[in-house]
Amino acid sequence: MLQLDLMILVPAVLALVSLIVARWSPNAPRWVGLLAIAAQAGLLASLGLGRVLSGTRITGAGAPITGSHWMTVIDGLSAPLVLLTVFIGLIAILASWKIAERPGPYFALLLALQAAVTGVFLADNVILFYVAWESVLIPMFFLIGGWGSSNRKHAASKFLIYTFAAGAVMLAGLIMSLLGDAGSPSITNITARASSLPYPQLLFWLLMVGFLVKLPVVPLHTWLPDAHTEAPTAGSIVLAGIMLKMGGYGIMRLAMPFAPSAFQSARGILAVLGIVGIVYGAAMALTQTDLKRLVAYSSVSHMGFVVLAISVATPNALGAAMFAMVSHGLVAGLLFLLVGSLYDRAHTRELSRFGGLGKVIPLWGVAFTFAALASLGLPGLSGFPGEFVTVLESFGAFGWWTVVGTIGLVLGAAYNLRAVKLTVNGPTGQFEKLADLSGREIALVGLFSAGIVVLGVQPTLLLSISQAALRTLSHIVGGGA
Amino acid sequence: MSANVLAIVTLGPLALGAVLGVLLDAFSTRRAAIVAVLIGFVVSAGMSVGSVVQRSLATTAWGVLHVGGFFATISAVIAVLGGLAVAGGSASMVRREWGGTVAGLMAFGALASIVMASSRDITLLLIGLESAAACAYALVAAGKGARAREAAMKYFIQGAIATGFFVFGMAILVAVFIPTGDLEGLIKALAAGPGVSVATAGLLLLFAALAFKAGVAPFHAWAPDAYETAAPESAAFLAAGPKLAAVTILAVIVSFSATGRLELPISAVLAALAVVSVLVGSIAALRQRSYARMLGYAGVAQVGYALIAIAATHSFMGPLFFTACYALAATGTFLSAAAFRRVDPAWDGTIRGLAGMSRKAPWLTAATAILLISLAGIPPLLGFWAKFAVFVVAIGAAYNAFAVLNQGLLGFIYAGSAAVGIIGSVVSLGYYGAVLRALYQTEQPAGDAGEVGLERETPAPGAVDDAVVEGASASSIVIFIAALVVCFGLLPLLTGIPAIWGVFG
Repeated sequence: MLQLDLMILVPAVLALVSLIVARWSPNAPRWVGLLAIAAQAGLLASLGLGRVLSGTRITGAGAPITGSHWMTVIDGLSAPLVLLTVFIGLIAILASWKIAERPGPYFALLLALQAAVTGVFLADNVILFYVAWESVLIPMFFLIGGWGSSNRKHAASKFLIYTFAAGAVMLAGLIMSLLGDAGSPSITNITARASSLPYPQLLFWLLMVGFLVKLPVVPLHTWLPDAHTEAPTAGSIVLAGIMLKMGGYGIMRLAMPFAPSAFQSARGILAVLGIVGIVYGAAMALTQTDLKRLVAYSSVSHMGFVVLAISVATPNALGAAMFAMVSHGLVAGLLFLLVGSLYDRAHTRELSRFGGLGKVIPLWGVAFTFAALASLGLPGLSGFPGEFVTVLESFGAFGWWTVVGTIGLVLGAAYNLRAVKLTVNGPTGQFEKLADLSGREIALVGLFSAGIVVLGVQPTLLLSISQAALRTLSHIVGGGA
Repeated sequence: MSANVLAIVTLGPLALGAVLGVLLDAFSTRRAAIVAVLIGFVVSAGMSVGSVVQRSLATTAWGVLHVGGFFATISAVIAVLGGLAVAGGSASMVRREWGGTVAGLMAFGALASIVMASSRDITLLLIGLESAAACAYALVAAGKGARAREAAMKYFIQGAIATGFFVFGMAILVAVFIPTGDLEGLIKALAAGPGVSVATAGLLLLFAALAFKAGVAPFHAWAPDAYETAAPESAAFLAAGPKLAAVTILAVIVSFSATGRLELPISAVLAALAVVSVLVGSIAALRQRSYARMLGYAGVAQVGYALIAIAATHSFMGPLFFTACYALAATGTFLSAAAFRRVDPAWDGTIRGLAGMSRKAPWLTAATAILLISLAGIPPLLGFWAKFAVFVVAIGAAYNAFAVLNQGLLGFIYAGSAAVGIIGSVVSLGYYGAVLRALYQTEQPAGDAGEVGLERETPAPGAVDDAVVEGASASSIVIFIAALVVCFGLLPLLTGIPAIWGVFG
């Protein structure tokens, strides 16, 4: 289907258009941005929403040239994340609606980012995958460096060097997956002949370096708090909402099926990494004085659950990992949106300077409390099912060791409630008069909240998309055995 | 088309252009001289490109010169990049004394580079090497001021020593192994002839000379000075054609000699040179404050990647594709120095001095940023495929050595040099990224004009005028090259990268 290919190409081309139309009107680029996301949504819908939501495997048209690396596919593994990408893309554009500083390049970079991320999830060729994977770096580097807050240069460079270094190591792994075969470098093909790949242990860990830094796991996470904190709001939303998921997706799409035996022997290490991430991220979030940094560290904790779930590798656990990724995309996206809108008004993110915002800006207070509850995993909201199933399943696999991870759940409640207490509740802080959420922001919050509630009440909506694909994956790696 | 005719139509226009350039500069106008040189480049490049498109097979002209096959690709790249360097510098050369002669020198240098890359005979190789070197010394000496002459002198003295190495090595090889001077005879002679140590000594002396020419560490001492002090278009020329030619002939000689019992020593030496080059170039580039000097050291690191590929495969595709990609981006980045000077005539040549360039010249800055990002090897730009080629051949060779040949030491050498390459490409983000940060720095650096290493001279009124003209054509060429880097970066996704690699061997 040509639609899949166009889902990557249209935003890429419209990125150029955005640069050009900015000469005529500073308002034009944002409409171009909206058009690109609308086109992506339309193209996705034209594939047949029913087919996409049932996880049917649909291959793209590809290029009519033999040996082309342009091979795309959507299936149960990628469909939830592609849907998330389009959704987060829409939010990112709308959240940037009032960008006044160089809107042309800004929206061009945002659309280039969107095209690259979509490419990562749709690629069915390791070379296209890598090109898309690394193409994410430059737009994000310039978004952080050009539109970020005070310490942006340091954060942008750190982000670029960390993730590029990890990507270069991953490239060595991808090249290894091409060894000893003249066949096509399609992911499907390599998965099929995975048992003949040489040096599976080395291959697995080379790939994992790229994915684990992106996720990220402790101790490879130090780029994240800086990048997330300094990035402009839309950048943070995309970083937390989609880019971290690239790591989890990469593990499930490449690392596990390419080297199932190595994955088997690495499960213990991954579980430890996951648990450490859960606890460390939560503990760090509990001690932050900067609200945005707090949200950034909460991402480390949430992604720890994803790693833990992946290490269990039963069909249910993998489903939980996928669910937790999508849910975190929504919850962290909402939190960054709210923190961004507060920063726009107060020009500070220092927790100690807030307080009593529930009275000053009640709508913001309600929304933030809602987001915090979703983040701490309140049943009925989307944060709950993924992490709950993760704990259940890992208890089955690793026994009482899992209890250490549940400390993270308690800490999760603690840091989220602390954030609410210090901002929404308590005596009024320095800010006695602030403008409440605008109509546009209310709409964005509404979009996020709807997603969070729907997934929380009806998790099967999402789980059913990837059920079959994850069962196959679990079977390949001998999950639960 | 017969081999001899093909050789004449590709080399002839360059020779004619070079002669006309010098003559017209003396007896007519500089403009006419430069136009003649440019026409020479265009015709020669057109002929080579035609030969590439027709997929002509590699043959030998007059028994001494390779034509067709991937040699056509190499001559095409050398001619196109030489032409771009002349076009980029044309506005400045028109204004400068002896401008036409400088352009003529570039045409002659390109001709010599093609001869050097394609020679099958060791004497012809020496002639090509020396002619290219002579042009290079003169091009550096033609730069402004005493520093340029000092750099040229250094370059010349070191070059003379390198020539000594070459002649010595050549004497050994001709006396013991290939009395006819035919390089291809090396394969047979080395398989049957006397001692390994003699052959290794002769070849290593040859490699040392070529390493000097390509700016490989530890034979690189001339490079940063030469690139920094030469006029930007001359530096752009030197970084492209002659370097590609040296890498090509090195790869050719290695492919003829690194077989059987010589494989391990030659691979080990080349890998060592590669690793030293990557490390020395990267670390030195990180410390530079001058833009052109940083590019010079970065070039040392970049040629190290080509050597990683040569050491690993003893073949052409990896190193030549890599070097051609590097040469294209290097031409653009060196020309960008001229273009920046046009935007800001008071620019002192430092990286910090580039602050705020994105406001003054957004398109030029974006184009330069694209070139630098490509040089760092980040997709979806051409430079990524170049590094990809190097890593593919190195990792493939390591796997082959470990798993198929069962030669652990060789495998370790290949895998190790690939690992150093990966580290080097991460470090390259540091020095290329420093330029990116400066280019897109919005606030002017406060109060550091005094502490910058190079003195910030107040330009004389006439100098400003010169500088304005200097960049007029450079800027558009930089943007053109950046567009090429983007297009050729996306093309392999459509065609598959093996299709592109195919034309390089």
